Amino acid sequence: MAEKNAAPPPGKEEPRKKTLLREYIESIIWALVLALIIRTGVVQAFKIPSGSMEDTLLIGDHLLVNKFIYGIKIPFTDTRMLKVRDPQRGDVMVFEYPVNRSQDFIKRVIGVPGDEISGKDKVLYINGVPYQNPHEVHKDGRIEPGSNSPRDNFGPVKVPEGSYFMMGDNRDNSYDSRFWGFIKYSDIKGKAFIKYWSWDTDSWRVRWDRLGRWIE
Amino acid sequence: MKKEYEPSADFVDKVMRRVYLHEARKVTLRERLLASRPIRYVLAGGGTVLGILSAAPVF
Repeated sequence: MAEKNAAPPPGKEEPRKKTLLREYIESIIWALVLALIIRTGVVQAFKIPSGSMEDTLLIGDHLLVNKFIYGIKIPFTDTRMLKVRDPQRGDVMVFEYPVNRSQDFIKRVIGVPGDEISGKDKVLYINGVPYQNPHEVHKDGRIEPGSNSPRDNFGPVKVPEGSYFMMGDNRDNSYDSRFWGFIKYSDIKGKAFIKYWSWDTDSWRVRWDRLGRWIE
Repeated sequence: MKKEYEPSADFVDKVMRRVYLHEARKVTLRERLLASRPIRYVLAGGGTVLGILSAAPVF
């Protein structure tokens, strides 16, 4: 009778089985690497703690940001690759706050390179023509003189090459390019495109009607 | 040896099958779940999704 369980002949050892611990460690490493790659080059999640983009984005909204549309940024460099298109006026973008790079800001692109931007009594002018974005809101009727604050009266300023002028949709309660200037192309993190979660901390409930909505 | 006492051709096979079944019953449900490949993949996939959806504040 042939012995089925006989030891393999010398030189033909059985392949070593991975231990369970090793398989778990490998799974965790793969999960970390995959999450890191996706967050760096495909999509990243952010949450809104301030009201500067109301009513487009409310406090408690969670959103996803497209990380490749303006080119995938190579970590620790200013190099980008595989760009789909340049930022356009009206895009809602996440970027590094130029004054404090540990913070990320989200605002709408108002001025692209070459544009001349000014504000007069809350009315925005781009290249001398009044511009009103359909998403902008004004929640304070007072008009601040330009000598007090650039909120309602500023400019004109010309957007340099490779830079962008950003403004929050909540025009009277947004700390944006009117106060601290332009952002550079290398500061951009991506384009916000969808709200995947929204939690109202005041009434302690989910805003179901906002889930899955595109950000325009 | 008498013919009636001779083991059948698959005698060892049958015995070993019973031995394996007996040993397998000793493994607890927890150990079986931990060793399950689909569960490990689901855990890793879930961790990946949670890692992606862990949201950073943006002002």
